[in-house]
Amino acid sequence: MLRVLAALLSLLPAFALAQEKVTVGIVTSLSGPMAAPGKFQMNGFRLAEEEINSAGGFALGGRKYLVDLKAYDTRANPAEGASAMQRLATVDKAPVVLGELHSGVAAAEAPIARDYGVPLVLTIPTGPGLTEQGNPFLFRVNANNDQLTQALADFVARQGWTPLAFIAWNNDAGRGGVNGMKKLLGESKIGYIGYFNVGEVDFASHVSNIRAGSARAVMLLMDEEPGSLAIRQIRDAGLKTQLIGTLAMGSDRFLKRLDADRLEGMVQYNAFPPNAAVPRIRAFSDRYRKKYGEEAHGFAAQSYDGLMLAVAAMQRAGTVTDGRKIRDALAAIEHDGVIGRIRFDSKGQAHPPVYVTQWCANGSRRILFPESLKADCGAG
Amino acid sequence: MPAAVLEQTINGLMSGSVYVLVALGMVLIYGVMHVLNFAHGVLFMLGGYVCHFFFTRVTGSYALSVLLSMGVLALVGIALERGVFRPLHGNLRNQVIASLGLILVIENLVVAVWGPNALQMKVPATEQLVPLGALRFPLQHLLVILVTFAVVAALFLFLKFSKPGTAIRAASQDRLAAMVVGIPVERIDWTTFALGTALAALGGALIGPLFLVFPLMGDAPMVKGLAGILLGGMGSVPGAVIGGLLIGVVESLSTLVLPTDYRDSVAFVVMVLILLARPQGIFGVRVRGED
Amino acid sequence: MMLEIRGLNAGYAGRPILGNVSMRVDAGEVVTVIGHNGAGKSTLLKSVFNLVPWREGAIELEGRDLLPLSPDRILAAGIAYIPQNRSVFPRLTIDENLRMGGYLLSSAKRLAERIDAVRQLFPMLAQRATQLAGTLSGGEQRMLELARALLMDPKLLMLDEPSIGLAPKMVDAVFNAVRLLRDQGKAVLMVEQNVNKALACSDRGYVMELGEILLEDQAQRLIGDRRVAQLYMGRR
Repeated sequence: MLRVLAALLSLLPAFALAQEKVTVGIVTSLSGPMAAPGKFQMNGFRLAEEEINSAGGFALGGRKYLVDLKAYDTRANPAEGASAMQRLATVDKAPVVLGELHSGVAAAEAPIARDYGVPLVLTIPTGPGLTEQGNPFLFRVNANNDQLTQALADFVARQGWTPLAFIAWNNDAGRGGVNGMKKLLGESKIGYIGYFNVGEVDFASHVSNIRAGSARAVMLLMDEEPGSLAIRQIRDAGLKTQLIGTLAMGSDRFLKRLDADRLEGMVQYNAFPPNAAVPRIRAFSDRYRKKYGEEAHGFAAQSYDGLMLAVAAMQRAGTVTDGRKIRDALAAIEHDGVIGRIRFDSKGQAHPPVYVTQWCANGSRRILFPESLKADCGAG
Repeated sequence: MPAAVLEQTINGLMSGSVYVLVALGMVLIYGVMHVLNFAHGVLFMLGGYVCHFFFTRVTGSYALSVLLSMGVLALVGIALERGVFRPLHGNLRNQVIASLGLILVIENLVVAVWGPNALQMKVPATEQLVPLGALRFPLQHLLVILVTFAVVAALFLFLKFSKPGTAIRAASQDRLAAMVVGIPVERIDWTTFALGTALAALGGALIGPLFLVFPLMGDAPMVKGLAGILLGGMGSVPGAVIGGLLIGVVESLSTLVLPTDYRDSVAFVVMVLILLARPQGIFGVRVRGED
Repeated sequence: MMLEIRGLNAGYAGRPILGNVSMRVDAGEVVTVIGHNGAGKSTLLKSVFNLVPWREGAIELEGRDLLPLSPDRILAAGIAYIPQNRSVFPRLTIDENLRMGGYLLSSAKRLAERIDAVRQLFPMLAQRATQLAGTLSGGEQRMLELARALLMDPKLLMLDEPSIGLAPKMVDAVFNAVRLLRDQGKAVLMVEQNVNKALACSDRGYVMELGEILLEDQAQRLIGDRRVAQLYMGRR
């Protein structure tokens, strides 16, 4: 009887309270315009949390610690981000904070991280300026826009897809991406540039202008939802131009929003091809599909790596409370993550591999870049 | 270049049509009740969601779902008139505050029920492409324009020639006089509210398949619709139609010569310029110059 | 007895205007209420038509209790009311204004008959059917209001300052129209500042001050009354 009771108790979360817990702060978008990518981010964190805790926690100094995620919804709003960061540092006493999607919000959070000596590990924002502020407490797991565009610019130039037109978000990410490509390809290789504001859904004017111009390819610097609308509107208007997308557009989820016909031939850079024949990627994709019933996503992989990395740093620093020691551990760490080997440079920026994938006629993807991983339909 | 002009004109007519549907409802309600219902944009959005619900969960027929969404939103309009705006009758400030509060309530309600992510409505008319010279448009794109024009025509006939329509005009011109001739003004109030919210729902339901259904989908149409109303002349129904279409077409054509991120500003610059030359708007009547 | 008011108190919450008013209008009779500004004359008419928020007492039309009825039901019961301020619909045509006057008539045939009947009394309205009412002169608008009020074929018309703001010629036209109404067998209850001309076409009159009835008499006798002449007609 007692044994049955004990077994039942062990199932209760209350029982787990008996073990030591580390509160890890999360800033993400649970609602607002970035809620959709925010869900991938949380999925990644939750998967990592589950794996750590189901193994009884992580070991540190002969004890086991469970990870307890404390997530705040910053809703793509800098003010919300700043206040969440402040709360995590002061009220929740999180030794390390992870996440964020929006570069503008991350910029508001970073100084607070420095003030309180709490490392902030970004897993999605791509604004290159973030890691140029000399903030020792800011780290970024994912490739930033400059790194992504560098890889893509090389690829575009080799394909001869110029002049290159743009439809881009009228924000740091969009304008930064356009300027980066301009610098890399040269002004003369750039065609029409159209910016749109968050929440805008009608791309007809851009389509008309692209049709009137002479661009060989159009780059869509935007997220999943506007991306699906832009591609639909471009293809429905009869434009056959080569499309180039962001990492938000290389997933099965994205395919469901459109169809293989409209996507065929489009390429996109990607931080994480979920079907690549790489063991670490395969393993993660399988675990992810088992838990969430859908294809893994780069944002989830980056965020999963972020939490694993933070735990490794705490272990290395030998503390679950001292943010400064954890920062020093992060700065020196070398971690084999799902997205690849993660090492931060002196600015706190990691350099994970960047891929270019392409949609096939049957709705699968092939890997075009890097050359070493080149693989046909079904691998991307 | 003419092809681009034609293309942008048709695009402008389409977005303008949506502004018109929002503007018509606002102007009718303003006329009768002297309330600027700032919640009209979220009612537009709610119309999109309700249509999505009927289309994906209840009936596979898009046309039926549009009608059902208009019906449901008409009931929502009646409830709002009864529950919120009538008790505040005569207190303009509180009515404005209430309508701003409604935005938050409805938006949060929608997020709670349907989640924050954009929803897709795959209707046949978005998959069918209609060639127009060298250009192609999804059928839905043209349907938005055609349905709006048909609805505007029907609304004009209704207001001009039917007894309840004439009574709506009468009540909006002089509420006391309407009571004196035996028009039941409170019934006119809720009928007008129902009509206005149904038109907003139609807008949301028509645009949903083209541009997704999401919590912020009503914001731009609300603001542009309001600009259309001011442009056309506050309180004028033909003004709302012309104003809304004009804003849509001008902002679309402006993208042929100006960067697209100026598109929103163009609409408002045009509005301000026209109002400087003609403060009462295109069709507006000078309130004091009436006698 | 057409209209009977007994012990009426009325006004706004916390601000009573009428105090214990009792009066009557008999069938086919023209009755004028005179008094200074603010005496409560307009409130009296509004109270009968249920346009005042607070009322106590009795208001009956041919023995029928009017207190619980809404304005449209009172109109249907046989009382038409023309408020003091212009009340035509300025951006409706004359014809549309007339048709709105018959809003409560459900039969199209009956509406057409009534419009014909009213047009015979006011031929100007037939000639200018499609003109916007807001473009009419003040006097013409008053005529349109009268005509519109007749659409429901009321037993009693209540006119609030029908001659106010009109050119002298139109003032006479308005009082001629009141005589015309009496000839049609209508009872009229009017409130007027133009005491001489109003009483001249009335059968009886009431004098009101501070929300109460001071005096009631035959119109001819009121015209001859010295106090009335001093107070309301500017004569010494």
